Amino acid sequence: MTAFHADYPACLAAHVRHPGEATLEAAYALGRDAVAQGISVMEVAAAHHDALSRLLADDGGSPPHDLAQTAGDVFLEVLAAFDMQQRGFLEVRDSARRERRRSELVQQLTHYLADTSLTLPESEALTEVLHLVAEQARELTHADASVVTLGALPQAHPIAASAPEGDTGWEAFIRWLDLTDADAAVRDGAGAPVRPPARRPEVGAWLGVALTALTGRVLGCLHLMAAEPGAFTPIDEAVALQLAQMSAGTIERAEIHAR
Amino acid sequence: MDGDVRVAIEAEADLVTARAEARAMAQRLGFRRPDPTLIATAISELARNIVMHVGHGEIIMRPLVEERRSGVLVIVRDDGPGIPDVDAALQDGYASRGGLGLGLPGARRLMDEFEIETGPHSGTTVLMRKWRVRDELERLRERRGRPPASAEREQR
Repeated sequence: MTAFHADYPACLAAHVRHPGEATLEAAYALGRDAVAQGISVMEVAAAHHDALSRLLADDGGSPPHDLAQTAGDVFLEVLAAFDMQQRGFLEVRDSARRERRRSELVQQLTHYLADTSLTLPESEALTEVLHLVAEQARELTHADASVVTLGALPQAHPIAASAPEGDTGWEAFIRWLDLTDADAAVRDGAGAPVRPPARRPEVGAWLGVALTALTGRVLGCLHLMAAEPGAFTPIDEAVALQLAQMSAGTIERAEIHAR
Repeated sequence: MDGDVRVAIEAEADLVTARAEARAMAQRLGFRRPDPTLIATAISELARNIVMHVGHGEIIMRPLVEERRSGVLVIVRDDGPGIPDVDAALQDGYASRGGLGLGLPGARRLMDEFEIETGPHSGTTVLMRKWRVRDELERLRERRGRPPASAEREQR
């Protein structure tokens, strides 16, 4: 028998005799210790039911319903530390799943861009590919909107964009967005992610990456926008940079192929 | 503010007072099981941090009542040396003196909103909120001057 199994009945009995915050806090501390000792939830449940059964058999004075309710408060307190730990586990698991999904999408997009770059003689086809890049970039970084611009300043123009389907606010925003200054700011820091100042209240975070050819010529930019301030993480920056590099390679190869 | 409850945290015994006040406020606001326990747990973790790492601080609890939801704002404040690396402190296992290492991240996960402000020698302030939805029936009862059903249950 572990220390937990020995301590649980006393902890439960103390609260049943004198219900209050002090005994509940003691129950919580017992739960914390149980987590630290690696006690399982099933062991906690078994200890609780054993202790409660004994109390119900011994205590003839209290109505069983009241006794079960009071004992339930102790049970909840002991489980609180387990709950806290489980939330942490679920958070890590969800994060790992998201990263795996992100990795798969980047890999698929990499293959797609590599495969299609040699078969893109038509400018419409390139636009289609950059639309896909805009969509994937938005999904991979959890941005609210993305825009790909193409061309040299000052003639650079948006060629592809993505916003949540049916979100008229973001759709209108990217349609009327003037990216001239943002493009210039991104090109100044060509090769590295930069954050041009957001000038509109809709945009709390803005991540811009240049599409740079192997020669160093800037072909365009990828802009990512989100309403939430600080929405983009270093991982998002790395993903945006990778997508920008792959897109630049595709555009460059398509240009060579078209000549 | 009106309705605020303040508890000074200087020793382990103050954890009990802070937890009791939080639980009572949560129950007055109509929170149901297990939410009062989760709020008390988050407070326990942060109050324990104050006792272990700083020595003294305070916890302020404030009821929040809006049209469609009500909640508890918990402000945990100390004037200690601050947390040098907040991102690291929000990871499991940070600076745990033999504990679970779940203090800050654990509290964050139990509450709905969590903000932290800290700086060198300017102390640390954590703001946490837990919300519950106020349904149409509850709002109707309130308009008619009756307490929420959950409060009636508590009184019984």
